Amino acid sequence: MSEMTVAPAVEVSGLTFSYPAALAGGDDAPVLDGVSLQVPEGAFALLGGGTGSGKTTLLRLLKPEVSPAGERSGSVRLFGRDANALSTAESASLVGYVFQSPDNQIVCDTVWHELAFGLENLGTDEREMRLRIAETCQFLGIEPWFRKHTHELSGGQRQMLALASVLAMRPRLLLLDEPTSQLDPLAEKDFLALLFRINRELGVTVIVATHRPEPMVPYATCAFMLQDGRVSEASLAKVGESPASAAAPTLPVAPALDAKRALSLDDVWFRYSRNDDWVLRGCDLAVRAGEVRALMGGNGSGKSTLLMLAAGVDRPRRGRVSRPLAQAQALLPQSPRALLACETVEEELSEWVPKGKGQAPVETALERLGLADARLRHPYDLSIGQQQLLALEKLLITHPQLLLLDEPTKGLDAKARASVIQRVHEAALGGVTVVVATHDVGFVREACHSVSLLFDGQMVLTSAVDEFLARSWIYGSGR
Amino acid sequence: MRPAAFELYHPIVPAVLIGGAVVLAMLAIEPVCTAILLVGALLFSALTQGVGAALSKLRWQLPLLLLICLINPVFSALGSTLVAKVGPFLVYAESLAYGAVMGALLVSVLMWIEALGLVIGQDELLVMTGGALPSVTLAFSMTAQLVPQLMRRARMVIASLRAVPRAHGERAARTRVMGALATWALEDSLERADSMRARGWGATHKRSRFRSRTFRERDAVALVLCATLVAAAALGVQTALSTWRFYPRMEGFAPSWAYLSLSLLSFAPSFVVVVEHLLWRREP
Repeated sequence: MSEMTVAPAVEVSGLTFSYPAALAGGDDAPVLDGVSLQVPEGAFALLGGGTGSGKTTLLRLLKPEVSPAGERSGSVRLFGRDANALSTAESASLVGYVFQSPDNQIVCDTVWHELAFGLENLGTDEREMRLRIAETCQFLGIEPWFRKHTHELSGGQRQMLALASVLAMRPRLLLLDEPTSQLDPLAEKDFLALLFRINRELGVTVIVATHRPEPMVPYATCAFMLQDGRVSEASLAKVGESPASAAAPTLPVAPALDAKRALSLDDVWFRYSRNDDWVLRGCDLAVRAGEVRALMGGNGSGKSTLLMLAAGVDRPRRGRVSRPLAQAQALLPQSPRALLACETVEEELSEWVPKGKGQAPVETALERLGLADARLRHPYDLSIGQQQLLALEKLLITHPQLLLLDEPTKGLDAKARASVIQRVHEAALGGVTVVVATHDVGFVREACHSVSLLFDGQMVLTSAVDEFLARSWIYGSGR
Repeated sequence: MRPAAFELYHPIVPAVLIGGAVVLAMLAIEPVCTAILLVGALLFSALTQGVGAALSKLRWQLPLLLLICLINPVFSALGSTLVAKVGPFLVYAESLAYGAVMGALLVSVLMWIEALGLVIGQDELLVMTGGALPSVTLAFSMTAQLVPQLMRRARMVIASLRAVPRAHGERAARTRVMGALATWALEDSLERADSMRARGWGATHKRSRFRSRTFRERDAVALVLCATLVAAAALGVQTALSTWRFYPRMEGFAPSWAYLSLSLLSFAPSFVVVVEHLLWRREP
């Protein structure tokens, strides 16, 4: 018996898949074309590839409950068993799946109920359930917020909870689809460290689909790249290289120090309600016309709040905000969906076209986005990167002189991110003042003139990007 | 703040105690009974949420009480003591008093319900009902977590519209917000459904439940005590109601034991909070 070969955790052979032609917009090329791969038990595998390369499709095909509908052939075997022959209960306890959005995959309103959800579904005995939940909480260190409401948690905590609620079912295989793309760098590191421990200490096989594999490479044991529907094994060293930056940035020279002010905050204090703590405590900010200013700082340091005040959406409780460009401003919120409300891409772009300009700006924008053929698609059918660019384009059509961007590169793949940087460059060339709240140091380096570091509701430092990076201990040394 | 003392018991215990007070507060249309229950509710509110919070609630409660008091004579021109004649309306003291008692009753019912909500949170409700209706309680739980998310998003959508001058003054702004939120939520629900299926939703017909509280002997004793208190108070209220008349002349106070039994119930929750507080003060 001991000579029996151990079946790999995942064995995919000759898997071909195409979406129904109607959904794919007439395009009937298969998303996956004869994909074969093996992941041994206990591995930490990365699944790389650009947006639309079929990473998510492949990952979902490993879990029949969430598999997309379409034409498929080939086989998927999990631990030596046909994936499609597993019952729902078997599949739930064998294979865990963690989704991208920290918001959408939480079902219950309290942490403990969310942890129990999967086990309740399986009809697990109460004593067994308590043991598993207790151990999961202990292992992941989430006891301090066991009794909290899920809506009180931060994005990082919610994603950790999603992982924990899957882990409580003691799966042998974990599939994760872009699990950290919505998290800030710190929360991402915490999440990956936990994932690493789950893999090494509990022996759970892990497969992560990601368009940005660099932060995960230190933990991974193997990597696969998907391209044009085909999969190939890649070396970890190669996957870990930061993608070469696109064409040399062409940011215009920063405006002179005595240039006109485009936005200024003077001793601004702000809190959301009487019982809340101060978010901003005597915050000062002065942005010159034509400047691209980055706002950096940890989670909850008040970056988004500051943008809201700069946009005049909220008023300071004390202090002054001067907004000479109030009549020509635009705000890109953290989620582009807050701006998208129309049925088609074309309507979306037409909504705020300045009066008397006709259809021309819309056509230019469609062309620039590369969506001229997709003008009748619903904005929600676009990838996240395309939605972000569409929302940005929709704002730029109004010809703002002050552009406020809240984490514009969050969750984007390299291509979409490069496009955002490109648009910021173009806006700056056109003399637009830009204020960007961001965690993305690469973006700051390529697209900004200066940086302000926000901490505890105050500005700690404002300086030119080069100087900032030279002085900074945590941002300066790499990335 | 939820009083910690109540967490020591199975949620059914405070549910019976304060639920009993809610029901009696609805029934007791009698000046002394209503006053006892109102004072009990005010005291509990002040003890658990602070005097300031309790007083700030009086800002809307007193006008409400006064309004009902003044409106009643318009509808019922009964009584024997004529106080005033306003136009075609005869205002009798009895009618005013009836209105005042009704107003006080309404305020005390609202405050007792608030106390119930404070002591029996979402979790406790689940513990008490989860076994019988798992899907319904799940739906409640899901709603409870989605509402804050929806509100947060509504704020984000409104903020991003207010931030773009070009979007100002559009008539359809409000429907736009609703539409954006609905599409967004629908889109999310697809992923949420996937996440539920991936965790075995529908795998068995008999869901089990994670009960974080067992019903112990101590709970049984407390439950019997609370039920006795409620029953005695109910008897007291029934006696008081049977002897009291508003019209034509207010008369017929009940024997004092009736009011005493109701007072025991009305002040029991506050008593528990105070005792717990004193016990803590004795800790070194």
